[in-house]
Amino acid sequence: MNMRLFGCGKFRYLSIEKFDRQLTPKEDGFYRKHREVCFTCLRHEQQGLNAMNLLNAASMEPEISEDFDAKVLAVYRKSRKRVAITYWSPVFAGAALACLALLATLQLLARSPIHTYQRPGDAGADNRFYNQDQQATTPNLILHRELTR
Amino acid sequence: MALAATSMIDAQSFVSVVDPAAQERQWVVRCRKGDETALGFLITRHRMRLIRTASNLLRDRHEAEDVAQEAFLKAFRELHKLRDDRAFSGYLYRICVRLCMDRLRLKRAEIAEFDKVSPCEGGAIENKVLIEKLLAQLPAELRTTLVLREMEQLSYEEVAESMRVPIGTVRSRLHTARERFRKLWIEAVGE
Ligand SMILES: [Zn+2]
Repeated sequence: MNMRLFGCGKFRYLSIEKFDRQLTPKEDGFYRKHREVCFTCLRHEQQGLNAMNLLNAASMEPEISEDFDAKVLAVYRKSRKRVAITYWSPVFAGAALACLALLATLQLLARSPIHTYQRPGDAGADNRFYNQDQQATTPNLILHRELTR
Repeated sequence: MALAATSMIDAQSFVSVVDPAAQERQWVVRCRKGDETALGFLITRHRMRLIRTASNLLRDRHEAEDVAQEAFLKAFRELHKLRDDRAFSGYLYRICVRLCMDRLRLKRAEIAEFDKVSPCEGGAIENKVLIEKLLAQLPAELRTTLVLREMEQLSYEEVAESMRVPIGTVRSRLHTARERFRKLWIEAVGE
């Protein structure tokens, strides 16, 4: 009776431990004796065994789709490309900015006053072009002058 | 000298044919250099184990394939984190188990109100459905420990390594998981 009252917890612990290891002779002795006198624990143990058997029986056998390997490789390739783009994108952005800056500089240089530089005493370099009487020597300008007369 | 070199090459190829671990190590080295053929070899070697474990953990074949694929990709992408080329198998398996656990946690969070489990009729399909419902009620850690030990038949050490926890933790989790599973099963079948 005492064993029933005070040993149930220990028995249940051992009944689970028994799944994974061999009980020591002392533990085994207790286990067997308790099993003989305690119907509740015996039933508890049986239920545990049934539940574990059910669990083992429900193990799934895998069915692998035929294109599994190909799919993994395809996704891998795609992800590598993406990583490469992410890796190089700052370089591309930097290069694009440098190109823009270069173009802008060239534009500024083209418009800069260095091209209409006037030497001292050279009165109105810009006006030279529009001073039709003195400067219009090219055929287009001559034509223009003729038409506007 | 030439003879010695030839015999060394022969020895290497002999090792690669006979010893799967050495062969795998060579594949991993080749993978690091971007060799896709080696990548394919590794996929073929490990896919079955990964998908089986994921199927048992998630109880869904399609999801298991997704997770296995994700595990392969993650392992290949993060190959630089692997310090020992011989440890690839365990490394890959750990990633797969972790991904399954992440999904289980999400799923469990989704199940706020769980359906009352219907009693078992005794058929194989009914039993599988019942098992799914019972497992769904266990927290991800307990469920994973139980499945790896009972269905995948891993040793305590292997479960501990896969889940990155001490063996003592595996032991106590397994104890709790078995007892909870038994109680759930009793409630379900009304024994
Ligand atoms: Zn008892």
